[in-house]
Amino acid sequence: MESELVNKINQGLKKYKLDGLIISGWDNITYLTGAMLPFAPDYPTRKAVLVYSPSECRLFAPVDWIEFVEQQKWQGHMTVLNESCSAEELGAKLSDALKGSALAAGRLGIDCAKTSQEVYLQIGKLLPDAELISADDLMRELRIVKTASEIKKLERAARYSELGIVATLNHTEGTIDAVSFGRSEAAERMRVHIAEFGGAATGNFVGLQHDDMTRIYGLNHDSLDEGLIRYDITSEFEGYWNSAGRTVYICKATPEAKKAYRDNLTIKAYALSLLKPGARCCDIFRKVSVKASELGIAAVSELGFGYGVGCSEREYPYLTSEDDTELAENMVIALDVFTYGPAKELIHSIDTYRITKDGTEKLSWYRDYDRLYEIVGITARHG
Amino acid sequence: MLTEINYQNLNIEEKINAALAETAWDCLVVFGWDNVQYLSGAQIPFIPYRHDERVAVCWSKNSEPVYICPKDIESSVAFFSRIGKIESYVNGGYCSNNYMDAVARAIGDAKTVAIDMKRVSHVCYEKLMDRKPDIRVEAADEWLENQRMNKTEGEQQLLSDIAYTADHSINGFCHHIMKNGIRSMESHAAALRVHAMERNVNNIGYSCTAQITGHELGRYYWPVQERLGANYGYSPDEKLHGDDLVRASVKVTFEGYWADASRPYTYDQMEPWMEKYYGQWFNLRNYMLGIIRSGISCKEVYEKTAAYAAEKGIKLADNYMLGHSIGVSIFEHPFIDGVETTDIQDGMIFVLTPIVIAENGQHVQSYETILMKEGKPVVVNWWKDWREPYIGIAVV
Repeated sequence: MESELVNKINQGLKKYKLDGLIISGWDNITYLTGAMLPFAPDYPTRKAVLVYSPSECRLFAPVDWIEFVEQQKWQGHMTVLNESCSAEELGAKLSDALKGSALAAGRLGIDCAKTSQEVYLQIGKLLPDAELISADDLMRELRIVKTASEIKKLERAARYSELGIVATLNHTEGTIDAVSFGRSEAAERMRVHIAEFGGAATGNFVGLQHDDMTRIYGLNHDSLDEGLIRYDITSEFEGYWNSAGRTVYICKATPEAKKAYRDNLTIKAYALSLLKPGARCCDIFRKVSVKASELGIAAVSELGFGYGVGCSEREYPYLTSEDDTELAENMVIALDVFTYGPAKELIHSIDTYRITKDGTEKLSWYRDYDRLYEIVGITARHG
Repeated sequence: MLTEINYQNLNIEEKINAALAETAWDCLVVFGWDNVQYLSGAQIPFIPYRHDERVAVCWSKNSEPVYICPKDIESSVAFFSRIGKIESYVNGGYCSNNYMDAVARAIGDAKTVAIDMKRVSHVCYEKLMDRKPDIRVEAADEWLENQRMNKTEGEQQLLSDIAYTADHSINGFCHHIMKNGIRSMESHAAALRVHAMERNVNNIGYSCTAQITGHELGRYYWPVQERLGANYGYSPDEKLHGDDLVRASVKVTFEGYWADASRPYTYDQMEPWMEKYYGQWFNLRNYMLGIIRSGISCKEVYEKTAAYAAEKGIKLADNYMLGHSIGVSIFEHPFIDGVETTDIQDGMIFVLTPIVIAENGQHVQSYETILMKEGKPVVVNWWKDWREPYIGIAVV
């Protein structure tokens, strides 16, 4: 793991006067170890817990995850947990592992927002001499501002997502006379191409049209059709996630669709102009909402206007009315402004930005979508 | 062929209402995404990954259940959920006040509230108690696990069909493999997934993925390729070899329920070492099917099987379970490991996952999905007879 990040974490521990951490959140574990756990949230019965201190780290997890972390060359100690490991067993193993160490009676930070109540109680019971402190603020503080190497990984993750979308568009091009593949298959092409270009994993992906496109999520195998289509995808590279989404048009776009897209870009551009260090997320949200209203553009404010990305596909800060976080240099934001298409379709064009000293730097630079992309053309032979 | 028409009514609502009526609880509140999905029927794949955008279900004895979710997914939840009443909130970060206010409102006047303590975070729990200091809380986990592990007839049918479809997918993919056209693991994994999609499984991301691995990399659960790093969502892009025993694994989902499938294939008739270790697997598999009966505990199955393996000189993967149940999540209780004391009963579904370690370190495995019926296990995922791996076409 890069030394800049290790130093930052250890400085954070000093600031909060913590001797160590007991961490359950899979994304926090990735952050603190540099190692991914494969699709951890999809296995809610499994436990993975990291004990982190500047002098010693130990990961408790099922055997296949332990092996995977070893392969990623993480240098800490590891303890295998049974598949049906109870909170009591976990607590007992933690207690055994920490016996005799200063941590057993130290100030231990727990990511209480991600540790179950059951595990939290067991930790307290089996480490009675330790003082348990919430580490949520520490983890938020550490993760919200990225190091240079984290930003590189986020940029790479963004590139893979964008390549995935471009590849799908490339495969759809030249087929509108005989579109025979379905929306979900078109979406699958994003996923496959992320693999081919070197991504680590794909998260959510959809290709939505018509009624499905009026919602955030849908599942539809129907054939691609003339009209707007929204492709959304999240992908991971070396533990860092990107969230991408583009709206395109199959066949020649109607004037109404083009206008709707231009309106979206107008609001997005305005939101982008507000992304600066010192600006509060809730103020940005309010200003964008007001501006959209002034321009007569229906921005879908209940979806917020963006969020952070990092070791998870959506994290602090949130461009919503509820988050008063001040933006700072080296935060990374997915600017995600939804507006409506002519038939109330949710349309957007996400871009990922690093907050710089006085503005933003685009990390999802692979291709500009400054006008509505139209997929036109019939099949032609390639040589 | 999977089709939504067959699975309209899994009878979850009736079952939960009947079971809840027998408790002393006024309402059940679940925070874990898997419990929420179980009660609502709504599979929104990114919910587990967006940890600050939490969901919950409040299911009261005397009123309509409520699904609590962030505003941005309200219409998606409404589309997929069996629960019609939805209360949405504006997200403000982890365990936000808006979220907990919505949960507290849904609880209403309930006095005794059962909560999934294995899932609710400490912060959410504390915030709930701040808002509802007078409620009496009980742990709902064992009750929920019990509901989920004893599948309704509809769930049994659905899970059996998905398991069969997953096996069919592997067979459909294997049909294309040829010794004189060997490609990379990654390319094969993509093809395997496509063959699952062709059989109408839901095409989602995350763990709904395929894995193909062989030779050196077949020694690992999650093979990491030096050149590309830990691309765990895909397979390495190394080329397979004509003398490989290849592991083809795929996880698929339909209507919010899962199948966990893994079968081996070869490019030609089996080499002696493959016959030996696959034979060991088949022997173990038959042994497990011979001892699994209603009333036996998972732990006893594990211990007896491990003892049998040792007696026969069969090396099993260390510390790995011999099976798991499956449902709205890929791994569910009960687990066939050395700890789980739950008794196996009719209506339960298991994926049997013994992994035999060959002398070259490769994992030799072939997952069987079984449904417990009339006291005995019925294998539901044999699209073909798996007494031998899929033997590929040598040349065309």
